[in-house]
Parts: sequence; structure tokens; C-alpha cells
Amino acid sequence: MIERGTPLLEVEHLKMSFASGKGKKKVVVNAIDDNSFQIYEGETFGLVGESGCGKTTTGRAIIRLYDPTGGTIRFSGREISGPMTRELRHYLSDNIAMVFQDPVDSLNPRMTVMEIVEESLKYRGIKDARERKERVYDILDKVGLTREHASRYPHEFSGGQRQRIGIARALVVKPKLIIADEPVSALDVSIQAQIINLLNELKEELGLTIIFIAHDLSVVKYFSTRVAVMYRGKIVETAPSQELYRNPIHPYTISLLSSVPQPNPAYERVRKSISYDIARDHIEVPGEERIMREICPDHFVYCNGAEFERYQEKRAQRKGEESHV
Amino acid sequence: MDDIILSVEDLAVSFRSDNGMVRAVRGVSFDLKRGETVAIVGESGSGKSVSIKSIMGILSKNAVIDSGRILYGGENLLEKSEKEYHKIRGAKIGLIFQDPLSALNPLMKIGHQITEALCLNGPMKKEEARRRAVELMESVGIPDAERRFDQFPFQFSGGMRQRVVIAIALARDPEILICDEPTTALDVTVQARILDLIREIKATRNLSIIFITHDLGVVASIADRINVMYAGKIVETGTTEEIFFDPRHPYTQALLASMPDLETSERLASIPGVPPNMLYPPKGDAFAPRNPNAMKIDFQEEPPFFKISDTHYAATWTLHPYAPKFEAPAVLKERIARMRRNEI
Repeated sequence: MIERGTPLLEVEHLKMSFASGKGKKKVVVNAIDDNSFQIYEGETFGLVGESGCGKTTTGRAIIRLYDPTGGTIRFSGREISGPMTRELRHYLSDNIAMVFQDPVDSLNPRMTVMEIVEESLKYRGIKDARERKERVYDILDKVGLTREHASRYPHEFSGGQRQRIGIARALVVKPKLIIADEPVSALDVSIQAQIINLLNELKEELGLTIIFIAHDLSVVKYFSTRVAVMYRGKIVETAPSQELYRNPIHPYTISLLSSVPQPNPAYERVRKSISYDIARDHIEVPGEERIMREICPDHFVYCNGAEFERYQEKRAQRKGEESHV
Repeated sequence: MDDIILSVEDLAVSFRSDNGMVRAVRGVSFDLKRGETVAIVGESGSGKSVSIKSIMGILSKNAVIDSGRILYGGENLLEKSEKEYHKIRGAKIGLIFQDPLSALNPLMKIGHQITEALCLNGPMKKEEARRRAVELMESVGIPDAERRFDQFPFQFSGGMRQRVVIAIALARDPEILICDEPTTALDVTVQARILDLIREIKATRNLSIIFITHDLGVVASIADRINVMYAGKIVETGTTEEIFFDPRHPYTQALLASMPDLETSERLASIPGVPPNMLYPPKGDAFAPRNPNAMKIDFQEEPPFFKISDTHYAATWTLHPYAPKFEAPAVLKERIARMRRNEI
């Protein structure tokens, strides 16, 4: 069992829709469809799903790059989903920071590393230039860069180093929560491990809470304490990462996990990928809505009553098998 | 002697650039046997894409082929004129690109793009071409092919687009199919289906496949043999089992150890440093600067291939009889033990 502190972030009924066109041509896309979850202090919360499932939108709505269409978000008990004020903007930038996927596009090519990392300190009203510089040097050191790097421009760095700059920029304001949106997927395999290890070290050292958004399930499993699986704007299953990967319950999670090729020829020879068919894999009960239900401690699945019974049976069976071993 | 269909011998390719010659491929040799899938694994810039572009004869204008031969049907492809190449490219050797969107013409109907390839086989009646294209679309698993024939690429999902690209590659019934990261841009569930499709067409059409990727998971699932490339060279070659269960080159070992699988919980063994700049190719073993166990000779002289088995070779001085014995990283040993358990 994971130790539970207080929830650092509470998301309730978060909705986010995008509209395009006007009048008859108006199309509304529900990118996030009524999701609720909590993130506890010190944990790494993995958010996985395929492209277009709303995982990036969720991250952006939390840090208020988007204005949520509905629902509330609370950070340390304070609501941060209300109307944007100068004060709230400052509160957010003090506490939440983001690491982006693309280390090339997310750094301004005309600014030096010093200027990039220092910018958020300036914005936060630290007027003393020497203090700002010291803090930048300090954080550069922490992410594995040196003082000499501060006067250089982004194009002088390799992909892995650029991602380090992105991490330094996020951490320089000493936030409590980091939203890392696919921070390693644009990097070469030999560099990915460097960045993952770095994030892990920093998390320990600085006591960070991390929302880790990714599509690479092995990396998410390795990096996260708890994982949520998203499908078409809806979180369909959340569980501690070990539990989720050992005992996936929702048919979509099962399909997703079975589709990942593993770097292991022995496993690959016997792996069968299972497809997900909404009509086949669910029991429709007219008039009954699906909600998140707890299958076993801390393991939630989005289902209706009939499915809940079936899932529980299945989970109990697995438990029986486990105790036999 | 095995039935070798394509053979690359000592291929070296450079690119002219403002800063000098970029030595992208530095002496690559490998064979493709009939009916097998050979994978080339490497990071970006390792020269894997340049190697296959040389085979297809589609290198950019600033490329210079320094040396080597590509033997297909007893002839050296590198000596072919552009006109002669037309009879081979597409007809004998098909290519599937990484990004299915940029491989298709956005302004042209899907059906037309397939019949265009079909008609290169020789003149054909319009109805005949349409009938064959629809057949082809059905054979690569595009549902409702008759209707989708008249649609445009933007109306197709990523996975369906890749199926169209595969249909076009198959239109002229090639015997070799080169897949350049065909599933990198796709979601995992879609990727699984495309890999199934590639396996299926390989069996039904008796294709030989060269598969380029950086994803070791995909390689484990599809390849018979693997060539690991680093800094423009093949550093290790062997069957899939040999590469995964008995990796010998320090780079292959480090690569396997640095990737988390679903069971990994210990700290990842990351590879320090970055790949070399190919404007100034390193002397000796290109991986030496990133290898904590590198020996003096690694920085001075290029290692030859040492034989481990009839199918397994690695270019590293650690296999020299006089070299001190190095233990493989502990993480890797555990990983291999875990994989072996899985085997039963």
C-alpha cells in the first residue's frame, strides 16, 4: 500500500470541450469528459492513453493554459479553476510548472539559457539580478549542466541537454507540482534513461509531486506510483502502477497493455494483442450510468453495476491464483 | 549456401555540408536472405536510414557514395542508371515510410494513388485498375474498400493511411519490402495491428523484409535477425535470440540495460554522453567515449568483427583473446535472466 498524505491536487468533474464552426456546422469535441481524481503529495501520477485521448489537455487545464469548461480543480485546498486574476496567476506559477515534450520548440532560440531559465524568476518579482543568477546557476547544476552553459543558445545543445534546460526552467521557481508532458518521447533511447533518472533524483531531492503524461507504457510503469488510463476523454481505470499492470480490469486497459511490444523475444513469441471492442466488451444497462467504482483498495474502474460485479469476480479470481503461487 | 536475395558490401556514404563531409555510413555490410526479416536498429543519426536510401537509390543530391556494392540479382545497384533503377525501385523493392501522411499526396484520391502504382506495371484498363486496387485495399485490411477508394488521405486515420501506403508498396508485387520505422508515428494498439499485417503479407507473398527501427520491443516481435548500428557502422549482428539473450558489444548491452521493461524497478543504467558528431568520426571504437570500461585500444584502433557463433558477430575488442574479462552490467544480467524465465 502506498502511504497517503493529503491530496495536493483535487480534480472534480473536470470537463473541457472545444468548439469549432458556427451555427449548423458547429462541432463540439469533448476532450475531457467529466473526470475526477486526486493527486497526493510526493507521488508520481502517470497519465497514459493514445493520441487524442485528452491526456495533454488534462495537464494543460490544470495549469490553466486552457480554461476548463466545467468542474473544479483545487490545489492544496485552494480552488484554482475560478476566474483568472493576477494573484491566482502568480499563485499558479509559484506552485505548478510544466516540462514540455519537444525540447526544440519549447525553448526560444533567441534567448540564452540564462535568459530562458531566469525569465520566470523575473516574472515572479525577484528584482535582485545577482540573486536570480545564483538561483539559475544552482538549478543548472542540479540538472547536470554547468555555469558555462548559461551563456549559450539552445541550438548549441543536444536533445537530452535541451530537455535538461526545460527541466531547469520548470524547477527554478521551486514549484510543488510538475506536469511533465511526454518529457522523453522525443529523445533517443540512450538519452531517455538519463532524463528519467534525473527526474527521479530531483523528485527525491526536492520533494516534488509529478504528473507524468506519456504514451510509452513501460516508461510510465517504471516511473509512476499510480497510473490512470484515459480513453476518449474519460479516465477508465486508476490503480497503483504495480496493481494496474498485473491485474488490469477495464477491457481497454487490457487491450492497451497487450499491444505493447516488449524488448524480449521470448515474451514476444507468445504475446497476443487483444483488441478493444466497445460493443462486445461492455454490458449495456439502460438507464444506468457508469461511474468510477472501487474494485479492490485503491483500484478504480469506470463501469456500471453489472460490469462491476463481473470485474470484482475476475479480480477475486486473480487474487486466488496469486495466493496459490 | 543460403539463398541470399540482397547483399550490401562495405557501403560508405558521406554528405557534403558547409562544415565538411559528414560520414553518415562507414563501411556497412549485411545480407538479406529470402523470406526472412532483418532488422536494423540504431538511434537517430546512426546511419540506418541512409543505408536503406542507398539501396533504394533515393539519396539526396549532396550524398557521395565513397565505396561499396549493393548486390541484387547478381548486379551492383550502385552502378545502375536512373532509368534502369526504375525497373527495380517499387517493382522489385518496395518501401514503406515512417510518416504515412507525408508519404501520401493530400490532393489525390486514395484509389488513384494506388492505381497510379499499379499502372506502372504496364497499360491497364481503368475498370481493371480499379478492381485490382480495391482487391489490394481489402488485402491490407481496409474495410469498405469500394467506397474508400474515392476518399482523400485526410479522411483516413493514421493506421488506415499506413495500410494505404503498404497497399501502394505492394501494388507492383515486390520481392523485398523495406520498412523504415513504419509504426513509430502510430499508437500502440494501431501499431500492433500494422505489425500483424506486415507479418501476414510477408507470409502470403513470400516477402523478404528489411525493418528499420529504434524500438527494441518492435524488433523483438518482428525480426529474425538484427543488425545493431552505431555511428555509421554495424557493431553487432546476430539472430534475435542472440542479440537479446547474449549481447556482446558494450553498446548493445548498454542499450538493453537502459530500457525499462514492465518488470524493471531498479535505477536505469543510463548511457552517459551523446552519440559522436559524424563530421569528425572518432578513431577506434566509436562507442568508446561513452563506455566506462573502454580500453586504450578502443580509442586507437577500430575493432574487427569477432565471431561468437556462425550467425553472431560483434565488433568489439572485449572479444579479443587477450582482452581482460568484463562482466556484463548487473541490470542486464537480471534482465536476461528474467527474459529466460519468460521463455518457459
